[in-house]
Amino acid sequence: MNAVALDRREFLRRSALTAAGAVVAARGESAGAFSLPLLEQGGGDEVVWDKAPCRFCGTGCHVQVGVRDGRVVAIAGDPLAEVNRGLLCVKGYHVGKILYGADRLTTPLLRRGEGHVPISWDEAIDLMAQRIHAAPDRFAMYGSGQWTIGEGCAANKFMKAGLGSNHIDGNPRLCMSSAVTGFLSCYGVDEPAGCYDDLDACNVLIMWGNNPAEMHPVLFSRVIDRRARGEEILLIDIGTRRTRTTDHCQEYLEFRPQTDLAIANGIAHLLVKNGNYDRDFVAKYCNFRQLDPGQPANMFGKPMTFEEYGAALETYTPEYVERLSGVPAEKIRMLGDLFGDRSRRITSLWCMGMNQHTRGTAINCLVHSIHLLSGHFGRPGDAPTSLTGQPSACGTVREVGTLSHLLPGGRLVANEAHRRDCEDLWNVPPGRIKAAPGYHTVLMFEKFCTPSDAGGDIDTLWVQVTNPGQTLPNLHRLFNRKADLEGKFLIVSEVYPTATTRLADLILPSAMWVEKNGMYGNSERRTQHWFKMVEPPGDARDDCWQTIAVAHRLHDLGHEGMKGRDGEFIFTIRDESGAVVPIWQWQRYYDVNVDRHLFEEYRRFTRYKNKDLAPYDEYVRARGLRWPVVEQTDGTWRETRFRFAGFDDPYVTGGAEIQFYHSVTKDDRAQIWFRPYEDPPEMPDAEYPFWLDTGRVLEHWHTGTMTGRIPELHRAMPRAYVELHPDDARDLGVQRGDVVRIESRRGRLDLPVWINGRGSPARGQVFVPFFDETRLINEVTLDANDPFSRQPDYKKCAVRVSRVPPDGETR
Amino acid sequence: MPVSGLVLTISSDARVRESLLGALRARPEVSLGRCEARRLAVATDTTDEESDRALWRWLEAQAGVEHIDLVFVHFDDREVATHERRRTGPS
Amino acid sequence: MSPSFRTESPTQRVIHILLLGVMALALVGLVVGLRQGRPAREAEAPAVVHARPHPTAIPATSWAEFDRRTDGPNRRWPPSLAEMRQPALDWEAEPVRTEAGRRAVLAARAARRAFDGAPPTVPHPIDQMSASSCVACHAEGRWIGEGVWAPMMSHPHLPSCTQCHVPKEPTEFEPLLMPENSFVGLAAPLGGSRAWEGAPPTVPHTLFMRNNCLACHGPTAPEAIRTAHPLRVNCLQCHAPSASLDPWWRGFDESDDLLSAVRP
Repeated sequence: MNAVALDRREFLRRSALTAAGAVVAARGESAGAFSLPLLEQGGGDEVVWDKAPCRFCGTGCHVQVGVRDGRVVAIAGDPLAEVNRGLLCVKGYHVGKILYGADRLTTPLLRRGEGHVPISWDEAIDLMAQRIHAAPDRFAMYGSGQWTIGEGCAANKFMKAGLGSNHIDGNPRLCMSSAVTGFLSCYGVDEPAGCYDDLDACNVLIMWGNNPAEMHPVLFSRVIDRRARGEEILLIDIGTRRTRTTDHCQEYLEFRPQTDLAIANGIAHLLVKNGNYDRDFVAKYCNFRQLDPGQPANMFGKPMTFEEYGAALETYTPEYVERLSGVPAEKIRMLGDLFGDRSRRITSLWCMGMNQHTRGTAINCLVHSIHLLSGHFGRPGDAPTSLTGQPSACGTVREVGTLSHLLPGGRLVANEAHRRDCEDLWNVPPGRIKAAPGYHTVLMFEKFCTPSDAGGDIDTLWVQVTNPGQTLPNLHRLFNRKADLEGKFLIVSEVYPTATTRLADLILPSAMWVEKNGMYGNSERRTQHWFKMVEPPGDARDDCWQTIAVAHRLHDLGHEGMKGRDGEFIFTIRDESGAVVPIWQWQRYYDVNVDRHLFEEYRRFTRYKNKDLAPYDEYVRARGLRWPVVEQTDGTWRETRFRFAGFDDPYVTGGAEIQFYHSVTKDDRAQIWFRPYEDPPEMPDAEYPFWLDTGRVLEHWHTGTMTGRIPELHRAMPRAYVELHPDDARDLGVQRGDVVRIESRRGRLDLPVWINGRGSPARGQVFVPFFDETRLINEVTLDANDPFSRQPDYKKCAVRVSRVPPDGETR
Repeated sequence: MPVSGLVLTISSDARVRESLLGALRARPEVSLGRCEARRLAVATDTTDEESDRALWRWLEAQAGVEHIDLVFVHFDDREVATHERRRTGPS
Repeated sequence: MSPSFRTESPTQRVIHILLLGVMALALVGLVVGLRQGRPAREAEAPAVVHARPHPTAIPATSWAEFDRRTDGPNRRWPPSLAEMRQPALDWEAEPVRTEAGRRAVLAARAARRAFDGAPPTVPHPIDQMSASSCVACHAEGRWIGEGVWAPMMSHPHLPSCTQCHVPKEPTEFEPLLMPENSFVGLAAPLGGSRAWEGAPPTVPHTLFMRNNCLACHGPTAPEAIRTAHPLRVNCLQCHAPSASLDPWWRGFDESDDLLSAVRP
């Protein structure tokens, strides 16, 4: 070797050492936190890319997933996706890492004393089937808006058409059931009429208790990017707490919790009073409606005249609304003038602020109503639009009907014709589906956490794809009590250990996201599809397979419900030669595309409420399609962006401009509701003087089961905190970083204080995020819920706050 | 003639660590770099792939080495040339 | 969506104007940035830059004390924009581009990303509420201290910075337990290929969201990846992008119609 070559080697050695040193330095104390990409020649060529919807929120961004050697190595925003046009948020960019947390569950685990021991899948499936077979009526299933459509279809059919039990509910009950009751009350059919295209067309965007800058960042960017391009958009934040969203808004209207109803009524009052409501729109397309005092439980209420409506609103003057809400009367007038101006295009957005509300149905109805009254409906940019928190709360739960009172395609358990219809479509004997709705979420867990001999008639509970041990309100009452009860058996299908698996008797390791085939349905009625790209780790298996395997074991045990009219197993799938594929055997599960079969069966349910879905293969090609997707004469399939609008919706007949073709009143009209303001069930008092508000942060998705395993996200937002107003902090004698105790009538929690941090609450309020599994704020929250939607209120309850001395008791 | 940059995750036990560092320093084909917490940067320079594999196995077998991350590889010159040619096909 | 190149787009101009407006805000932002690590035990400064100040915010403690702080990654930052001396640019100088330099630049770049294409994490504390202070330094790029370059945004039309970029270190509270994760990210390529010695190298990375080549390769860029001809502004005229790297092209794989349209 000559001198030049030696120099070159020395240089290479140094480069190698520098690269390694950089990794060491980057990782620092938190060894293993970051996986630095290799620097290599070339790169990228052997990576195979495929599309998938993001695993996290209800926005429904498409990502491109880069796979090499059987592992996900990169994620890119999908520029062909209309939802996100190539952009993602920080969670989406790191979504590939959710598969690779070190503590993935990889084998079934059975409780033995305080711990768990590994068992085989055969043992696990057998154990479950035996337990269910012994007492099918005392078994319940709790699912999720993160279920794929196939998983939801299988679980719903297994329970309602197999076991003949309606004790199946999903976590969207905690998340958006008030949006559902709002849509049903006003339009007679669920889900938004508009879509994200409204965000491109609106020139006023009103966010009601909503923080999209953190919770739906890609949608928020879709609006504020328009500003960067020079467009003028008025952003109005109607909220109880300053957030990153507020920073981008021209108007911030801070209201006292619960008084959003007063603000909405104040706007309606001005529209009626000033006469600048849309007379033509109201005359042609609307009725007026109120609750029936004789039947207070009837969500659909009774009619009222316009005069009665105006009289009911009489008290909601801007001054009265100011006294209730704290929002200056002039700002209420500003809102009234905006809605009264038809030249504006107004889009309202809301999510948990309006839904997690003991008056959730009412406030949802009121926001729809001011849009209807003012005619800000049905034109691009004029839309009342609810956002969802989960990727398939709409697709799998609202549409597939995996709630205790629903059947697929917008049908109801309580309606006999609907039941017959479903029994036909599922090909099960008439009478199989029970007429009584099952337990909704809060009731289901109440029954599970009550001793069997004291009325707790749910003994076995199977939880899939969700973490109720962290997300249920008032956890001590609705979840933690399980630990002390005999004879209760909790089964949890999960991907990582969670607050729920802690109390589980049987833990089933699940495949997640691109480890399985799947479909999701996002907030704008868009159904999305992806294929399995990598193998799940260890013995983890699809949730859908788990359901089918248990169903088949019950079939072998002789459970009659697992047979259809023709005597065949209810999940019979045949291959092209007509032979039955034993999909209940894991080794054979992917011999056919089970998802395709379940979807094609489900698709036949969707026409009834005009939520038509296209054939499976259309979704394979598309970046999602918004229903109704209707076949055209040339054989292509066309999606619908603006429902009920004659210019776009193929189900609007007779050349009408607007037609509410599922009207509650059967006259093609929507309902404008009057719902009064009422105090919430718990308000601050001398003993518990603060409001507690809970919610999410940008970096974490819900309970952090996935995002908490991503070092980049965990490091940026490692733990829960409490936001205090600076004056309250001063009065309490606490500074940033001090620990305070948050205490309600139900529980308490110690948290560090963050002042003027991510958000800044009003005086007398505190905010705590719920992602941190080591600090469960839901042990403090209230389980009071909306009487129609049964959705609890996580946004307001009364707490007291006290300083914890540094050497004091902490948890 | 491979040159590699490695990050070793090493034991937190001080005694095990000392004997490991001694063993590493004794091998001329290993250069030690930055060490923080339990992470140690190392460069290895071997004459051929076989001895590179042997060295890797030796490292894995050392008491106190819990994990090895490969963060830098230099390929043989000829290999690089081949790779380059493939990448510069019609674009 | 097509990859384009502009030295100054109308959007950038808007941001330049905005920049003047946020100079004062930037100062506050900097000050915020100077505080880091464990929560400070002093009374609260108005850490948040609102469009309108919070009516009941506690007045700030003296800013003077912040520039005496010697801890944290911002210790080399001067406390005001005015003190950030920007060296005169030499648009003619031929950069000395070495292999070692390039590796060092790419290693530093990779250390802030989970994989090639991931948004980099932010190596300094941020204003939690407002993106205005991000733009103050990153709109055009800026030397913020000796050898410390605040890079220019390569996609200045996206104003919600914190949507994708989060701090690398916890700014407020220490993490309780770092999650172990075995994800191994796609590597950043070491460089483009040349058809022959002296031919212009191909672009070894995606162009999506990298609207401004000068952000990373301009006259203020680290020497090892700096262009030798910053005045030639139509970069893609000579440097061919790679269809296999750009996600925009990947989408066409599945659609035969579109594929035939672009590949006759």
